[in-house]
Amino acid sequence: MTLQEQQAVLPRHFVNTGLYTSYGPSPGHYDEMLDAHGAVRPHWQMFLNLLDDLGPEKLHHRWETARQLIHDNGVTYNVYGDPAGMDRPWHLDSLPVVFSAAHWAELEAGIAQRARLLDAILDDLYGPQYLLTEKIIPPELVFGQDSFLRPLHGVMVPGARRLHTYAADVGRGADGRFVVLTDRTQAPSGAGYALENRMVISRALPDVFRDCRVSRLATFFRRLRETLQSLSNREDPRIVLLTPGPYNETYFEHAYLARYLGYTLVEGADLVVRDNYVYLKMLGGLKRVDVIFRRQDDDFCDPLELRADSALGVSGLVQALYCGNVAVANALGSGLAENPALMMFLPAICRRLFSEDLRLPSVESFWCGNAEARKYVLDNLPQMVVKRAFSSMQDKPVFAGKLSYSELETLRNKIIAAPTLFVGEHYVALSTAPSLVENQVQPRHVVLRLHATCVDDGYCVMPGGLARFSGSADSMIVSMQRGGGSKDAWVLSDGPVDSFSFLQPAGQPVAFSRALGDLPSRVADNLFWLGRYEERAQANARLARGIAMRLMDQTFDASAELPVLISALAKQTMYTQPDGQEFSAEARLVDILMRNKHPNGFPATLQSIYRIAALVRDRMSLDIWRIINRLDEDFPRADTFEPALLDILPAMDRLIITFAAFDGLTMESMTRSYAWRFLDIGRRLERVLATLTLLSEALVPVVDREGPLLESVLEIADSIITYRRRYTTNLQVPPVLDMLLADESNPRSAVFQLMRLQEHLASLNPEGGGTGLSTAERIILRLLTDMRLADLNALGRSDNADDHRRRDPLDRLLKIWMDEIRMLSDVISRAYLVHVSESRQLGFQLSAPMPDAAS
Amino acid sequence: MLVQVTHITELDYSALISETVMELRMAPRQERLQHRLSFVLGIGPASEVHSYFDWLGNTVHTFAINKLHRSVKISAVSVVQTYGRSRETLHSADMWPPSVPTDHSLFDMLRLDAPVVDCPALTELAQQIKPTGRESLARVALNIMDKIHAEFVYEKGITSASSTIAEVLEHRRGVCQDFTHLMIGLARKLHIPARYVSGFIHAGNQQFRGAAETHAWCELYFPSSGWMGYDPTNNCEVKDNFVKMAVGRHYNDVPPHKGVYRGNATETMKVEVHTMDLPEIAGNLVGERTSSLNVPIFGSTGRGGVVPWILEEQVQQQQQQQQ
Repeated sequence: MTLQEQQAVLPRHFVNTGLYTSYGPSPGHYDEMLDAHGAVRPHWQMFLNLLDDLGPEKLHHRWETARQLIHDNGVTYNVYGDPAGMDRPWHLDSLPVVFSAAHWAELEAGIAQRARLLDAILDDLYGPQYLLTEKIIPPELVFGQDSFLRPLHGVMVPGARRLHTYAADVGRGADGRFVVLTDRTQAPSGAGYALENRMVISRALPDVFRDCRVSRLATFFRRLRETLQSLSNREDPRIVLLTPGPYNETYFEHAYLARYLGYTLVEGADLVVRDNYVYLKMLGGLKRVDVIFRRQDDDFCDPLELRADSALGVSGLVQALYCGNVAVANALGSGLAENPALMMFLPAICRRLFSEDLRLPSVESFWCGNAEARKYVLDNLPQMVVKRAFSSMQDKPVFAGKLSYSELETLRNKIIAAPTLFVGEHYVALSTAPSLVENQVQPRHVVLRLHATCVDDGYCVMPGGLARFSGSADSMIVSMQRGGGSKDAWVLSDGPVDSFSFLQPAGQPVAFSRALGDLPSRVADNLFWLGRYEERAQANARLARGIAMRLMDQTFDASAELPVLISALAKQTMYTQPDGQEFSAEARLVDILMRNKHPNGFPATLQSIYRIAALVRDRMSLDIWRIINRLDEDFPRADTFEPALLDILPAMDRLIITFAAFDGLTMESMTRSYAWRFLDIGRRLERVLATLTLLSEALVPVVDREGPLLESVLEIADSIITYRRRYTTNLQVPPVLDMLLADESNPRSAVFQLMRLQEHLASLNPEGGGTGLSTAERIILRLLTDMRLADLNALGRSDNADDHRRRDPLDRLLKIWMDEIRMLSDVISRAYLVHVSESRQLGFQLSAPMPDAAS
Repeated sequence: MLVQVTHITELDYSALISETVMELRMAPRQERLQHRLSFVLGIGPASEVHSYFDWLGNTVHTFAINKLHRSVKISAVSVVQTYGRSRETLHSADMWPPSVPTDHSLFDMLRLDAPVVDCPALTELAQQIKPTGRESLARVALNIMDKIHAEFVYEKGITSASSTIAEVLEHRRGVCQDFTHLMIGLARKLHIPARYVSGFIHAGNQQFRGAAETHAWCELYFPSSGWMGYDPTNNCEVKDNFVKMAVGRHYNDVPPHKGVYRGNATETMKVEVHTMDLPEIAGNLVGERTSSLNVPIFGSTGRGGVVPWILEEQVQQQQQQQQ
């Protein structure tokens, strides 16, 4: 077929604008959009026509909006060892890959059967082991690896299922047939990303999406919820999503799924086993957990029984499982079935267990523990992809054809030395699909990730959702870790589209709920510190802005207050000047702000906000998260540019506005739940400390001209306008003290913060009141009374100051108050927040533990 | 022989810890040649004890302490009736290499796996012992033991509890655990299923290494008569003065206690073992039960309660608060 003929079937706009000029099927590969003659496959026609109607400019514009959405939502995929650090932005292609209903039906049936098969294999291997006694699979595949969790052999599981969720990477070979490349049976990832992709694409192309009649994903998640729910006999079971934590590569997804499914996101340290039941540590006490939906590897789940060096697990979880008091999905030990060495035995197992043929073939694979297979692999080594048996995750597959001769020989010797550890696979000439790369539609190799969840009589498969594509046209390595990207995968429906959504349909009566919700102690702890760090950074920024303004404005003399302010900032951020360096005031400010490596330094404080916000992102609205994301842009890191005084002032201005937006949103948009209270408690504590610190730095020493200094103090404490309105006369210390300490109507005063803290603590201690005051409430009451009773006139007088020209009584009082505030912080965290300290393994007992033991 | 074993473990921490979760494999096994007549387990601070059988048939006791504490004490007192073998293994008709069951039941006991790792030094040593022709299985077992006894020196402090046999082969020194792992490795290398045993020796008035402490030896599989015990540390076959607590593939399956604690503290451990032969069982020892030992716990961290001590974590948090 000639180019002219091709253009006859390709949409008008795309050809006209040149978007498609470079697109064509690669020889030897199946193309998802075009057939072998270059004609558009029928199931793509509708989609392309609709895009065509949209036109390239509009498409481009919509896509830019969608990309902004991905950035704002903070969709990330962490890459281990990536110099860019955590949170690499998720790369989503604007063009989905489209599948017809007929192709999908074949694929769906294949995935469902395969999930059922792998579940049956697990059931057998953790039970009667007929597959071993009948020699259908060799024992090495079971006992030769640590993913067979021996403590779980023979342990019953609720619902008699071990594989509650399953995912497969599926590619399409040159002949157009689907083959399974990888099985994921422990804690398959990707379902949350599929959901996010779909959300972005359907927002970018709402009309196209609707008119193409794309099968919805929500039904899958409803089934998943039903499945997890069914694992407990209790009426309203508590289900948690167990994550390894924010350093995991797919943490974004864990938080996203937890929010979407309505489960509490927990880490191992949030859970505790008591008397063989699993509990979640909540502010209101321990709450029993019925089902754990885990995203953690098998052996990390219980440091006691399984992997001794796991810092992530729940000690005693296996015990609770023995007793049937908790269900874990997927069942512990299910990683056994994702061994690539198992693939070559699947057809035989399928016939033995189901009397069926395997519908969906695996990639042709050869486990080298089998003599015949080993010979084949060694004879054809350059044509092989070599993988580790057992732990498919640990090592990257080796494309033997790309190795040098000596590397190839090394590999050969490794296989010969330990053949059972290796699996050889044939290359799959992956199919290509159109992807938008640099404003050109280009072919990229794609792999589908398909998810299934068990239902009563089998498995329910998510219709499409997530595909990944290679980084370049000639690369077949499809990996998010290697620069490829992801696509939405659309399955066209030939029946009506199920429009189920987790949102309640309109008009249906909904039970009112005003539950404030209990909160895991760790989350409360994180919110508390988020509040503290945010307020701390804000105080630093205000002070820094005050300094920068005075440095830049040459029109008035700031020589009196500048040294005081700079030293206050240095004190606030625990800055120590490098030895032997003389700084100008400007350089000193830049150094304090940008290059302070102390954990209390300004860069570290901003970093802490970001880190802790990531830990509690499932608790925050998208708007709040977007504000957090802006911090990074507001204040560039010192290693990316050479900072100058000129940059400081606008940066501080931006930051202060961003913080104000954060404060405003959290005040106005968060329900008055425990979560909000702990955020605010942290904030109030920090603000009171910042005010007291500023007063003690600025007002304890007596300087010659106090007016400008007092003005800057008021300005930094955001109270200058009120002061001017109240006291039209000149600036004096006692009224400034009154305004910043005791004035109940000033939202920046110490007393104001303490009153808010008092309210929070009263609501956390509902049985209190009268003699029932908690320790924290007593401290606050004492502080409030002290501040209200303090004789500010006497404290502020400078003629009272001694020879050292210091206001010593004020100094003593402020120090006492600051100590009390710190104690208050400790008392609150000890009373309400669990000390989440690391757990350790007990020392192993030596056979000769005592040096003086007789032996 | 009627043997009473008193096994006291004391764990002390440099600071208060908030949680301990522990598993014990301290109860002597019930077997053909060993009957457990009594087992009294004391735990302090007081906590509820649960027990179950692990996948190797060992009795495991578990407990958790959730109050602040600074030490944990475990006392296990047991009385077992042991029986000697009816005849010397040398009289058994089993030949090398043994015919092992064709199912997979002994697969784990033939596999070389950490800490019983395969390494060139192990291959070489096994080659030196490997019989050239038909040989009685018992002879091969004794040859392995003789070899270890001749070439390795018993010395404490060279290896640690997590040492692999590669280290032992390099240093040529070790303690009972190392000798046992080495013998297991050599046996498996020669296709003889072998397993690890943790237990005690009652020395009486004889000299044994590993008496008055927790000891380890191994068992080799004889098709006609099952598992036969060998103690490479003392270069002897196991007799009725050996008390078995637990069996496994290697040490990691059977530590007498293992667990996890939460808190910023370091641990020190003291273990005492005392054995004696009894003319009969004392009345207070009959049966199996658990009891509480008097080890202090510290006040609760409940709401508003004043807590009089300083935790190290608290110091850290205070540091974070400093302006």
